[in-house]
Amino acid sequence: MIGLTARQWEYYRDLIFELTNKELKLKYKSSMLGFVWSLLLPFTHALVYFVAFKYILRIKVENYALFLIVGLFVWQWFANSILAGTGAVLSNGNLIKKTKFPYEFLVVAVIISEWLHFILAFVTIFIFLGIYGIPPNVYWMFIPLLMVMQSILNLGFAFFVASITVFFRDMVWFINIFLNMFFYLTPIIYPIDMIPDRLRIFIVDGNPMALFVALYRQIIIYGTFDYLYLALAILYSVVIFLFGWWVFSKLKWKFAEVL
Amino acid sequence: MTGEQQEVVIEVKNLWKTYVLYHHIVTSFKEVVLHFPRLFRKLRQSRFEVLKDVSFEVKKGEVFGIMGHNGAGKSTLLALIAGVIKPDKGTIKVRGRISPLLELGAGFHPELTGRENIILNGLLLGMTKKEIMERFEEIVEFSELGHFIEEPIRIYSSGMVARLGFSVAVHTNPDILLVDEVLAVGDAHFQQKCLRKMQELRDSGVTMVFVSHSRAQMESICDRIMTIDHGRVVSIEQIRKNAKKATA
Repeated sequence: MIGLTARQWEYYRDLIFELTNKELKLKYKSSMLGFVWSLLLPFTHALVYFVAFKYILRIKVENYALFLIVGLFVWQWFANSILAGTGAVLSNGNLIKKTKFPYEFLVVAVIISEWLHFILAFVTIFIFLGIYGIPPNVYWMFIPLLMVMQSILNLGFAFFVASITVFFRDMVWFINIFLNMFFYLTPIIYPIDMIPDRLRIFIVDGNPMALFVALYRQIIIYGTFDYLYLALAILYSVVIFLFGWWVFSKLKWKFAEVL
Repeated sequence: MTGEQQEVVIEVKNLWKTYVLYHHIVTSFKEVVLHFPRLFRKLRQSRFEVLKDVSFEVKKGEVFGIMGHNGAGKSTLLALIAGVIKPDKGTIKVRGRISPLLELGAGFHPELTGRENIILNGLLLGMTKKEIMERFEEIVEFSELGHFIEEPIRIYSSGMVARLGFSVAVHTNPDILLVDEVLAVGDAHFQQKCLRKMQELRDSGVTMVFVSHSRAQMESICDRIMTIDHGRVVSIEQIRKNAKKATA
């Protein structure tokens, strides 16, 4: 990024801003409730899981509603980013075919737009904290860092799926299956201590989303913080980001030919 | 001709481009699984040579026409000059900023308004928002869209989209303008206006590359016309001696 002139900075900033603006506008262009849908979806999920797990399966988790909402919001942000990523390049075929600009920005715009949705959803968590009477604590200062790291993770996955989908349209189906399996294999609706010890290394230590969900819960609900989890989450995020970016850079030259 | 006019702004040397028709290869997962061996055979058959050993130069301020029937490789050549695809062999050197004016309303999003599309298109063509806003009134005025500028592009007629596309592209201060069959649309009045604007741009030293299959149209505006057939250069004819004195 060294060597960029003031004009280039201005240009990239404008490009990101307008592309994100376009994403946000198009997402809800003809729906009446607009952004509310982004909240309604995780909330209805939370409601269903709450009834099923709290009253039918009788799971023993304190503040289970809050537990679910934190987990589902964090997960939904990840899942939405990847799903939106599949269309980031594909749906902009007419732009890519005609003009040369940094195509990476299309994916970045999608990630920023999903991040903004998460921020707004996150605000509703405050309401629950009020209801449960849980005060904020010093570890809240790590939340911005968690958001940045998860954005990098989301971006890595999105770069990967955005470029692969161009050549392999079936990718969207794989992603749906992958997300579905990944969701149940990640401690979102159940707590980490319910997982048998020998499985924990795969389901928690080797799974960036499990780490992120656990970290948010530690901070928001329990007022604790696990630095090892943070270190692992950062490591995975950076590795996945670099891999996704590498794949994207390798394939981007073929986009205009294939679209 | 002065020395300035002799300066080469587009230099294409021994250009080869082969397309791999990916859609012919992998259409679905089912195909990958069921017909795996066939995939390799298809990979070989799906290679298609679009451009074969193409070389030419375009000088500053020149209006250069590329002519050929459908599928001759004209649009691929433009895409290569615009830099959206890479050649397999050979080199392309382009000096200056390019504004591609390709097809009808290319790069516009149907759900966004005319205003939003001007900004987005301008950015994709390399302008900052400030630079776009400085020219905004001029762009709208030239496009003659009036209050439609606040409406989504999807309700525009094809002529309106073409007008807006043309207007944005010529107001980006390009050094090189790439034009793909664009004058075929719009009413006679607007076509005349476009031609006048291009004349103005040419007089100010803007280089133009036209692509068309209509010889009559090309002869009326181009200084030189290159004909390509099945990806090979057939001829490059001098239509006009002096670019500055030519009238469209």
